[in-house]
Amino acid sequence: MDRVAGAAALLGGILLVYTGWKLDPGTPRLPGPGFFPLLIALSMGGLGARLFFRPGPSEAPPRPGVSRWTPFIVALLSLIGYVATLTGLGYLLATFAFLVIQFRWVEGQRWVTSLATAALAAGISLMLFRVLLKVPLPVGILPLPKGW
Amino acid sequence: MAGLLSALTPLNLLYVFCGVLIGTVIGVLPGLGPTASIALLLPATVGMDMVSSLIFLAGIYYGAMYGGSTTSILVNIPGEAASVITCLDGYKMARQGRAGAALGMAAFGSFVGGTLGVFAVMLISPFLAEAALKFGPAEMFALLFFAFTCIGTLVGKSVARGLLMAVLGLLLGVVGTDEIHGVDRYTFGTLYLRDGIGLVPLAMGIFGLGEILFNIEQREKTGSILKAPKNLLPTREDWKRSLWPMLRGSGLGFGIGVLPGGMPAVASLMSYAVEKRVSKSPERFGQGAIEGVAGPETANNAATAGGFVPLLTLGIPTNSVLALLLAALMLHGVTPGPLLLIKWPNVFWGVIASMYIGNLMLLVLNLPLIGLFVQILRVPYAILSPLIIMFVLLGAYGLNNSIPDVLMTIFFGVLGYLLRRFSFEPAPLVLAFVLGPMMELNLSKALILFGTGNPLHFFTRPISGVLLASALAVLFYPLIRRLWSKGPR
Repeated sequence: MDRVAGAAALLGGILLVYTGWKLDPGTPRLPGPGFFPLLIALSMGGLGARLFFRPGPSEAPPRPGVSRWTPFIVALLSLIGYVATLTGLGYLLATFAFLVIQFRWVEGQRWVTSLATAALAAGISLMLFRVLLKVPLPVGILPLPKGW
Repeated sequence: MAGLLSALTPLNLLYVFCGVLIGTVIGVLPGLGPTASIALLLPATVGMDMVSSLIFLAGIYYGAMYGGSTTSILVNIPGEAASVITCLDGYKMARQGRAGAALGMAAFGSFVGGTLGVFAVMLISPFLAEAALKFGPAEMFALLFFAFTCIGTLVGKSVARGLLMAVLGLLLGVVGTDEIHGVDRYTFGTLYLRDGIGLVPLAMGIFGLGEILFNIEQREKTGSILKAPKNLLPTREDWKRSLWPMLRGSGLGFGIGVLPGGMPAVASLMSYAVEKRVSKSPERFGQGAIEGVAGPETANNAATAGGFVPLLTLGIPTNSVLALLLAALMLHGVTPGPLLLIKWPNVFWGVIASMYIGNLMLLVLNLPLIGLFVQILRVPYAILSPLIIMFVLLGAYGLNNSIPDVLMTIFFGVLGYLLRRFSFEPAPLVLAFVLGPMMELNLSKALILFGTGNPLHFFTRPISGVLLASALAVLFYPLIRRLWSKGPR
């Protein structure tokens, strides 16, 4: 992994040198907007070279566990779906749907638990943030009580 | 004496209580911060007595600092930049069933740091203010560079990896419109990135969402993510280990807080670096060492108190919250500066008293709440983690009512997952992101002021010279030690 990170950092450093130069590094007497990015580029390149040519000992995985790719992908897709539907459906409905997916298909909870917890959490958070703290959460297609 | 006594009236005690309570809630809730909250509540204090309004606003400030560490410990989401370091060991302690001890030590450490800081403000303000004026851009850059080397070298196992994360954080900090030249950098032509990347989406994404995505993908076969909480308060052994870190943290934090631009985040980081350096068992840091909570939490509250020194004696606010407190003073017709103690002694002593009472109130309010906070951890992780995601996204949206902020949080969530998956420590990235813009600004100012373009001028100034030499020593110490051990036989 060190070698991969080192190679990526080296390449990134080279790219940053190019962009830093294009931004105009100025001079040490009068630094330009590209001065600091150039310093970052050189540091990144140097560290990348260090990691690539002198990688550390390979590390054991952070925690012995089972890789659960399906729940992970469902979680990621539901996050994107949540953002896509937040303004259209509104906070209450989008959050409820998002939480049901998380509880049921990511965390494997029963339908009753998933629906009930999702409804409670979406409702309470709407009250706390929109009503009490006056954060203008999107209303969407569901009509809300007056003052909400 | 009149100022001291005025802070102890029942009405002002109520204001302190309300301020600390609101501040704690603000610190716990993601996306809200003390700056925005104080800005919102400032107009409401116009009708109050001057000392009362300062007491109320200062209470919000302390409460928010403590509230931020609560989420760092319980769910690994730093509420404030100063709480990032607390995530390292505080959250690990929570996972080991020691959330109560971590929260308790954070509360006591905050109290000790704040109290000793207040005494220092009382006794040595004028002398410290003069010394703080000797810190110009060159000295600030040197201090921040020293802090930067500490981030990379003392957090995590591999120095090169830690520094690479820190450099990546610097790069993310550069995104946006350059402050000095007004040039867009790495904005990819988008309006959103012109303001730069926000700390809240970045920190919540990398720490909060990243951790949860990692736990979803790498769920353990048996057992749970978080162990059931054990003792609610620190044990005698915890106190023994934490006493000296708290004392060191107070001194270090206050000294950094006094400096113009001295941020509580720098103070907490430096305290962590010092404690890890002086510890007889530094390998415990990052695995749930209580010193890693006690020292930084003390330091960040001591830095908060230290920030009042330049504010009250010179009228110079060292961060955005203190700038708002300055605005509050000026709204009431008070101009902080060298004459404050002579013309408005009741204001000076009223603020001092409010700082002490605020710290005490924080302890009184939050110690009983530890039991309640810790109950959160009894909720099964399968129920807790979707709720945490919801609050993270809600906090991200609530910042500016902006979908791009939510997308940014998710982006950094994925980045945080990848960092954990491949054993890269995310804390250096976030800390360098916070320090980077200030480093660049002070470096540019220093070079322009030198006028010669010769960077060696940093070493001709005593303070910046010592700090830079220390930073280089920290960076190259492992190499020097290796070369020395292979020396002539």
